[in-house]
Amino acid sequence: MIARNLTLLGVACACLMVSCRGQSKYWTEPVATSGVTFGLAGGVAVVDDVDHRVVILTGTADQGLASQSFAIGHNFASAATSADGLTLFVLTTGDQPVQTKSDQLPQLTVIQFAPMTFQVQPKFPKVYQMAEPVSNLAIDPLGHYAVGYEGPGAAAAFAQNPNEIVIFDLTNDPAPQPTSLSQAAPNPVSRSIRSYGGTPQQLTFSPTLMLPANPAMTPGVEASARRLLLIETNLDVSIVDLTHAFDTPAVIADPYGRKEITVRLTSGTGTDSLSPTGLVIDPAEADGRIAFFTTGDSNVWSLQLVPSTATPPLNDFTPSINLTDVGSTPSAIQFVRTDSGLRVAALVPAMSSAMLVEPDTSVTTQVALPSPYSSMSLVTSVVNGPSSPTDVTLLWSAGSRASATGVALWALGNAVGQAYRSIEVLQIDAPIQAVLDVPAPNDNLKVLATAAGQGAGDFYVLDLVQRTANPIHTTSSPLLTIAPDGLRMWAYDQGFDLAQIDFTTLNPIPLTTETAIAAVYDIANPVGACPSGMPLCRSLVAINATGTLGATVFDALSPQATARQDVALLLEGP
Amino acid sequence: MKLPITVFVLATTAFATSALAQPAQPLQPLPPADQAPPVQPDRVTLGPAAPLDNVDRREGNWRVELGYRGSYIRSAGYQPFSDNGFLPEVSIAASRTLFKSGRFSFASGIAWDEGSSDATARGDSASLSVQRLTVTLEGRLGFGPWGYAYLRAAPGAAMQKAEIDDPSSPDPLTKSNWLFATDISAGYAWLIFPRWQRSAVEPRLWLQAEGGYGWVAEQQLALAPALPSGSTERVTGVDLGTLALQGGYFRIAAAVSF
Repeated sequence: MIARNLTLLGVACACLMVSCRGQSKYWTEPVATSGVTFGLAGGVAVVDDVDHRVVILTGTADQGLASQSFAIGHNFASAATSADGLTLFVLTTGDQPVQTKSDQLPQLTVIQFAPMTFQVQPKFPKVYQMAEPVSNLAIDPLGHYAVGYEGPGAAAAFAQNPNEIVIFDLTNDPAPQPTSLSQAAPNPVSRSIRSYGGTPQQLTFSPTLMLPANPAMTPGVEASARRLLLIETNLDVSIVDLTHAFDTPAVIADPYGRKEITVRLTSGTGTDSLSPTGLVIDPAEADGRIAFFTTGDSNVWSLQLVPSTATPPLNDFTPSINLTDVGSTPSAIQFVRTDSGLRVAALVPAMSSAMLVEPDTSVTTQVALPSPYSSMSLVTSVVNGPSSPTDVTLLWSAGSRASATGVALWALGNAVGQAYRSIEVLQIDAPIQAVLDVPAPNDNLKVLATAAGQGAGDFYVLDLVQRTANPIHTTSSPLLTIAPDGLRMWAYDQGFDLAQIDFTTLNPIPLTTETAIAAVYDIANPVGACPSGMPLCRSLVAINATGTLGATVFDALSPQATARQDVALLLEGP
Repeated sequence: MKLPITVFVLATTAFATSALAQPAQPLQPLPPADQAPPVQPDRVTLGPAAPLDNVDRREGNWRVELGYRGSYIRSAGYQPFSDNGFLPEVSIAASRTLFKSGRFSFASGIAWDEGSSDATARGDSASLSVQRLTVTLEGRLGFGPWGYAYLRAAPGAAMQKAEIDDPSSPDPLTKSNWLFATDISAGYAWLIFPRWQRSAVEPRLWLQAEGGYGWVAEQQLALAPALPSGSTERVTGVDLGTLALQGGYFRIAAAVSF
């Protein structure tokens, strides 16, 4: 009898046990906090992969953080922001392999925000579904296209074609794969680029070009505006006409768009493996020129996309290729306008020289440099004004093992005729690791980060107009962030120290946080989220990538004694 | 949750029913009439030294319990603190029988339940401790040597302390406060020893089991770091949502009556 009673009691307890509810996955899995924050114009996006969401943090009047969440796909792969900081792109690989109807396909989630209010725009988020997963994303700086590709790193699925690219037309809504050719093209479209053993490593979007170049060469040919996608694989360069990437094929089994052009870098008779690098595009619309060089080789490749007699789906342009030996392996190239016309400028550190290459004839002009500079960027509009017919470049030596110190301005206005007078050196006693652009209204400034350990943590604020380079001393090698409004910069050391440097005074304001800083974002507060009397204000969000993510928020404009800590940002209930 | 509670009540009722269905025990020989004590009314005056008579005093006047309580919490706010929704507690209770009429009696006392639960919440250590202080109001139906069934209501207060240790916070995130609480339960107390000396006033050992529903008022789990007094830091905490420690529970206990 006792046994029977105990059995009944056990049954009762078992029923109660069954009614227990275990922890959801949201709580049981730890939050990933490394590499999950992305700066936007008016907020910070935090990807919470476990909960399949992205949390947008925006500033409030009292240095708090407001948050809003948006669903994203399963298994976060990568994210990117648009150049204006108003659009967030999140790529997810979905559930691989797809086994049930509830499993999710790979997708790109696009979230666009309004400029001042930072509210999500109507019709967003948009979800573009893909057939196969890709891990990396390249965003068109002009905002028209995005391209997904596998790129370097682990494959997103058990078996994957690394040469597949997925082209998204961001100006159109997502569209499924049609069942007949009379229907509209899908969005996105997938294609596998021709491969001779290489896989895409680097993607570059061209500005708008009028192609084919030199249409007068071929009767009946008319140039039209094109956007190109230039794909550097580890063996060759492919050129995809993005403007015609969604053209309907003649047969539904064929891929959409015109076939790509592949520029092979090896002849097929040797065993040398050449990888393209440093690809640049001539910004002049009508020129249709591309240049690049290869690792371990002294040639500069110059291409002009001239008319072709082919008909669609082949391209109406074809590359006319010039190879020019510049004497040694170049470290950087750039299309420049000189007093003698368009040239490809190539820096050759081994010769402590720059070579100016005439792209059509391969005639070269050597310009001796005072130091073996290895990097350059165009600063023409700042130094000579936007209407200047000739370019000015900033030269520096990048990398911790760089043998040159300081920077130089190279005026191309007399580079060919009087090369010895074209270089102006600004002496800085440390190799430069990176040159950071400052947006308008202080675009005459460049911030020069010195190599770690070689400049005692100094960095320099270079004024290209005044030709001054103001050093800022720090006690350690800092990380630098330029405010998007171009009025200030931030230096931090991934410890607890932080400093604001106003570009007007160059006077550092030291600050400190209670928790270690992983990254900082200078963001605009949404309209209505500013202290009374201030129509516009900004917040500095110093991310602490520990636990479930924290942040210390400062008033970016007047940061002293304004710090507020927001802790456990991803811990709130699901 | 209704089903398990129902099953549990059925189980406890089965205890009672089976107690009633036991074969009659051989009667003890009655004392001679001339030696018989004066007839006592069934309603007795309770006291520390009741006379040896035929009155059933097995429930005793005082009762002390020590037991284990398990609660099943379905509140979403409890998930950070438990990986299975279960809240274990230690129970201590003391009561005194205030009224007895035939097989029915009524007792009142106080009970204290104390327990805690730990879990990992998104990688953080999370813990919730509960202390529940209630006044017990208990109606009993006796079954002689087989013990008694009872219904219990226990209004009171519960002190909840939630704590999460998140490395992004300078100090652990905590919140604690007192909340109104009530338990409603039904159970059965089984007399272990001694069972037959119905009139003797002596310590008796019981085992008891009960099931019921525990209710604690909801609270918003707005956790914040406990900064030292005088700190000028401005720290915003985290809101974990609403915690409602409500749900079915069982308790098993050993008790001593005297």
